[in-house]
Amino acid sequence: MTTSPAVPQLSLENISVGYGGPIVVRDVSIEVEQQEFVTILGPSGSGKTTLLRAIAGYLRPATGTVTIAGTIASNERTWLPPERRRIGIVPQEGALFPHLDVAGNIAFGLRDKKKARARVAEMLEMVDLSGLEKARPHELSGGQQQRVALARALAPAPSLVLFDEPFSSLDASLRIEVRTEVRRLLADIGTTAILVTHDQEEALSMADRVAVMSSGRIEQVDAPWTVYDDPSTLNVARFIGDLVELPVNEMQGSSAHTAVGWVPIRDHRESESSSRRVVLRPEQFVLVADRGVGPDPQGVPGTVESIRYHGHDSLTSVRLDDGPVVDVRSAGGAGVAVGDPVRVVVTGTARMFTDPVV
Amino acid sequence: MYRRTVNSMRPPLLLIAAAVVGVAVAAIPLLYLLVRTSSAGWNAVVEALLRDRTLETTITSVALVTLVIVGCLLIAVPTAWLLARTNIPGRALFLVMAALPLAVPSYVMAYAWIAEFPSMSGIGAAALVMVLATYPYVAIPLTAALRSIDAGHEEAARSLGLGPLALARRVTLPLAWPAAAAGVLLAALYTLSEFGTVAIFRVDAFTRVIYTAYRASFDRTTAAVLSLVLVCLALLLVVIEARIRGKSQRWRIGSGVSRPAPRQQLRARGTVLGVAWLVGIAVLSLGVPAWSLTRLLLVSRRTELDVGELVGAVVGSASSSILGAALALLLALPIAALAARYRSRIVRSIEGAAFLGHALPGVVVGLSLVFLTLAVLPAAYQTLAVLAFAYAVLFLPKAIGSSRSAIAHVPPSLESTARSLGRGPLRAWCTVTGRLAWPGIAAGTLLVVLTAMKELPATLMLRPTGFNTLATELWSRTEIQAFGSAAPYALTMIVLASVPAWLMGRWMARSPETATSTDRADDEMVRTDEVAYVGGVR
Repeated sequence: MTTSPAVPQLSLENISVGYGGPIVVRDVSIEVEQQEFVTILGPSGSGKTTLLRAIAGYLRPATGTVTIAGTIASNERTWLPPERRRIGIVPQEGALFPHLDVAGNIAFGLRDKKKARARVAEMLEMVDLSGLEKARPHELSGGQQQRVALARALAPAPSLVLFDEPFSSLDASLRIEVRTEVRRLLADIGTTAILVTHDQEEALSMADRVAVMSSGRIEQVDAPWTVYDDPSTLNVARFIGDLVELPVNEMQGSSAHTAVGWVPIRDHRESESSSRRVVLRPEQFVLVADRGVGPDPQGVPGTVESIRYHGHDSLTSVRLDDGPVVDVRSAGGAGVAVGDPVRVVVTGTARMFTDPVV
Repeated sequence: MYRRTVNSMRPPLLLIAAAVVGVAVAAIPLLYLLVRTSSAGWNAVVEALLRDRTLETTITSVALVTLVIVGCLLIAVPTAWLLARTNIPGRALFLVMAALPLAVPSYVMAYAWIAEFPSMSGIGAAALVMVLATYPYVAIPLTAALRSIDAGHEEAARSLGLGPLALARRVTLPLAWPAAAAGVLLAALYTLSEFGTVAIFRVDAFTRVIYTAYRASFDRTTAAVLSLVLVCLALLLVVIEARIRGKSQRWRIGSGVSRPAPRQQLRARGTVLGVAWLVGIAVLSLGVPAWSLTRLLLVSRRTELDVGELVGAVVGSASSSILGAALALLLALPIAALAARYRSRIVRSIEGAAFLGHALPGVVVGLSLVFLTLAVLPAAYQTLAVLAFAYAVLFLPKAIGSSRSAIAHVPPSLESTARSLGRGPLRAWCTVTGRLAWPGIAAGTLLVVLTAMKELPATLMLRPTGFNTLATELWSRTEIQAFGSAAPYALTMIVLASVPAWLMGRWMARSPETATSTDRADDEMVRTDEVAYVGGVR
């Protein structure tokens, strides 16, 4: 199938899904370009797997349109069953057919049985498992199973591949290895892919774009660094990475006064709301050992409350003299001890959000 | 990691239609019985209900069931405690012996007892035999329940100041009683539906009275009304049993490693008493039948055994049972496929309706189908087809249960993945789900075959003239007190009835290639249920 570059590989318009009861996915719209790798990131229960199942055709959205490579797969009138969508899926834990060997699994979706053998060999070589044609799924390691599942999904040359938390059952070191390999492989053959995960590191490191889901809605779709540095909602900011939230005391132009002093606000818009907060990342703070020297010392004073040391960096919690606690990330060790008086200096700009209604 | 076990899609209409047809077909006998009864006129029904005979029969049946319940508890509670909570020697052997009576059809046990003690009769004799035949339904689950109570619970209770008696009353019993109660109700249900034993000891319980009224053929309204009363009583037991079972399963859900409770170290006197008790029960439930049967077999070698007749009976049993099981599978598969994958109100009602089939005694189904064929299709009266249909109706719940658990073991993601790889719904089901569930479904169907072979009352009423099965041959020979010549049939039945027990043992030992560790807990549960239904007493 050839499609002009202008046509997105997948387009969702106002998709809502409910299981005949409460709505699980609300009014989701997103377009995925050809050869793009999009991850859908969200906590469990956010509706991300449901959305994936709607794309695959395992369930029918209550409203909205699913368009795959310019063809309407699902709307109020049309319904394309999963077997006619040309979507490959790599399910959780691989879900290899236990009654078939590796070759049988990979050939499962191939129509032309004569060419199947060659295709199976080609796929196995691609995932670096040549020679394992006759192996049974239970004889494979977790990583091998995952690669066979990928080969099986890719064998019929699908227009789109969906990954449903495929790496969650692998142990940490293997997960990173398989992840890197899958990303490289998909880039090589130029297949469009959507991966659902609750692991933010996975979502950020693999994606061209990350869609952050929460309570059934997509709150932001952007490049990984944009999602991290420039979250569009407080939810997104809280879900990704560590966060320091500080209430705003007063505003002056586009600067907000907080417990750590004046902070410049990015994309500042005047808002009616009186109660607002700024959000900062721990790496936006710098620790200064407090010697009380100079007439106008930098930053605000506080006391070290706890230190979490991670080797490559450390996170120091400082209780400010004004009350709130801020986490400060330093490369390597922080060079301070619990109980030390310190000063905290803020760098860069911050986002400001209206306080959530409690 | 959580896994979606139930499909979120609406079930396909065609599948629902097939399942509804299955339930509807299975409901025909009961529905026709209602129609038939109501057509006799309101007055006739009331008159039949108010007859002294009805009350007497009800009292007899209820008394018999009560005796069996009490007897089962008296035997099972000490047995289970000895096996689960003490260091009594030979536990493994005694555990097997506590399960073995399931392999002896209850009326074969009745036959063995009456052949040895020809003067036995009446409600006491029937209760004794039914207790010996059904106490495993209580003892086995109760032993398992006592074993599975976490030592932590009891230790915590002791440290909170409870003495041994208070501990039993406030912790152990509340935790173990659902298992015992479900088993007791199962035993009660089988006693209520039992025909052979009751007839052999001439107890005028429902099944015998209905059968006699049917044979007398002038009193069919009474037979129909009594059948409905019997079904109501059985329904009551089935519903209560299902409730208790549901509750006990909820209780069993829990994670974390649990330690079994420690075994009590018996002193010499306790050991002797305990072993004597277990041996005594084994002698009554297994020894007497074994002795009686051996003696009769030796006698029958001197009298003449007609090998041709025996082979004929085996062929008759096999052909009718296989036909019945195939029909049951046909009706059960759509219901099982639906129940294993979808959870909507309509699916639950279909499954629930099919489950109520457990409350249909063979004598009721037999009676209704006699009426039905004579009224609607006289040509079908006493044909193999109708007999097979009766088996299908009687054992549909069993067929659904085993197929359902087999299908539920196949992860749904396999089927949906097959769909994405280009296979249509039916092909995906057949090549993946059906293919993987097949061994379980086949084993379940074999169980139905072997259970149907033991069916007596419906077979007696519906079999073609001159068509004999093992059960009917045993029955007719026992009726004329030709105990010796009945022995080979009894032995053949025991051998066939042991197959399911053996099969279940194998099945439970095997770990399915698709199962994950979380599945396995479910597995155990499903299989405990299955075991409870093996060797059905009907």
